[in-house]
Amino acid sequence: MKDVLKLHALADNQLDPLEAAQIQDAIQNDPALQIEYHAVINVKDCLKTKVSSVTSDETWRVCVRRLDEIDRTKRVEGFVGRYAWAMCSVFFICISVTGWQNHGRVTGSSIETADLVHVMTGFGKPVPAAVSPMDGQLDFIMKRARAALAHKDMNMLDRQPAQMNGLQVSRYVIQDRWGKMMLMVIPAVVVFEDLSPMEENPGIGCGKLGALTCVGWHENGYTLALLGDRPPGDLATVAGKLFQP
Amino acid sequence: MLFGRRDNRESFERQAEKVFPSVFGTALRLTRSREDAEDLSQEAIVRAYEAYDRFDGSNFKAWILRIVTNLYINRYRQRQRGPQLASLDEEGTIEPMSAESEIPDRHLFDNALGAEVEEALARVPVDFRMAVILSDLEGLPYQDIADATGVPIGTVRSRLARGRAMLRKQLEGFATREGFIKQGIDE
Repeated sequence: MKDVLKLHALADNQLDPLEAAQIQDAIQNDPALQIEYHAVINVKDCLKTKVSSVTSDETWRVCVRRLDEIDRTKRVEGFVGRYAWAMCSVFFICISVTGWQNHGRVTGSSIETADLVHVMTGFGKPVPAAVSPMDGQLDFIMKRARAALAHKDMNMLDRQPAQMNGLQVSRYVIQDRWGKMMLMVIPAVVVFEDLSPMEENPGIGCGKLGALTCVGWHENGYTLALLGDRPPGDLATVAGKLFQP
Repeated sequence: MLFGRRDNRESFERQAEKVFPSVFGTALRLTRSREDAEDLSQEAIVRAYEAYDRFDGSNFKAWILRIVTNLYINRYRQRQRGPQLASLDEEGTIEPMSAESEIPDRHLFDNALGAEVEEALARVPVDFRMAVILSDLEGLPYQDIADATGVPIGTVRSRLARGRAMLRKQLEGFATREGFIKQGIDE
C-alpha cells in the first residue's frame, strides 16, 4: 500500500529527491510497479488532456459587479466612519444655533390653550421677582382697572408673575359679589386659540378654557384675558367695567 | 488609503480573473450543478476579496481554491444529492489500480471524450473527486490540498490513489458500455 501511495506521489512530483530515487529504482526492478505507475500517469494524462477548462464570462462579470458594490459600500462606510464626528458636530451646532436663536421668541402670535390654562391655574413657570419688569409697564394699563376696582365692589386678591411661551405675564385674581375671576395680562398682541369673536362685540373673543369661560381682547399693545365661571356676556360686562374696551 | 484600496482591487481582480476558470471549473465539478457553481464561485470571489488583505502573497490559486473548497464543504456539501458512501471505506486497503483490470489503458483513454471523462469524474464520491480535481486538474501540491480540504497529507495521498482508481473503473464501465472493449477480453 505504501508503495502504491509513493507511486502516486512520484507521479505527482511530491516526493523528496531521495525518496523519488528509491521508488524509481523499485519501479525499474518490479514490472508490477511499472504497470501501476503507468496506470497512474495515464489517468493523470487523461484528465489533463480530455477535460477542458470551463469558464463563464457572465459569472465573472457578475463577480466584478459584486466587487464594485463592495467597493462602493466600503467607500461610504469609510467616509462615514472617518467623518462621523464632524457630521455629528455640524448637526449639533445647527441644532444649538437654531435653539439659541429661537429661545425666548414668540413664533407667530398665537397662544396655546394649554399654556394659558397652566398659567391661569398657577402652574406656569414662576418668574423671580427681581427679573419681572411688569410693574412699571402695567401701570398704564391697570390705572383704569384700579380705579374700577376701588369703586365697583371689586377687589384684587392676588397678583402673580408667570411665564408663557417665553413671555412674562401677570395673573390677577379679582373678586366681585358673584365670585372670583382671573385676569391675565400679556405684554404682546397675541391670539388665543379656541376663542371666537363675540357677536355683540367683535373686538372681544370668547370661548371655554376647560371649565371656565374666557373673554380676551387687546389693549394698547397688550393682550388681556378674563376668565371666570360665568357666562361670556357677564365676563364681557366686567371687562367693560374694568377697561371699557 | 483610498488609492491603497484601489490598488488592492486592481491587483486582486488581475489575479482572480486569471484563476477564475479554475475557480469556476472546480466549483462546477464539485457541485455538479451550473447554478450552484455560479453561486459558489461568486461567493468565493467575494470572500477572497474581503480577505485579500490577509493573503500572504505566495500562491493565489491555491489560496482561492482553498476558499472554494471550504465554502463547498461548509455550505453545499450538506445538501448534495446522493450518499457519500466512499468516505466510509477511506481507511481500507489501497489496491493497485492496474491489478483490478486487464484492459489496456489505450482502450480506456484513447476513445474517451472530454464529456465522458467529466461524467466518470462526477461519479467519483466527492471527497476523492475533490482530491483528484485539485491535484490533477488544478495542479496543487499535496500540502495545499490538505490545507484546502482540512485533512492530513496522508489522507490526501490515499484519497488520490482511491479517487484515481475509482475514475479508472468508471472509464472502464464507459468503454465497455460503448463497445470500445469487451468486458474481460483484451482487445
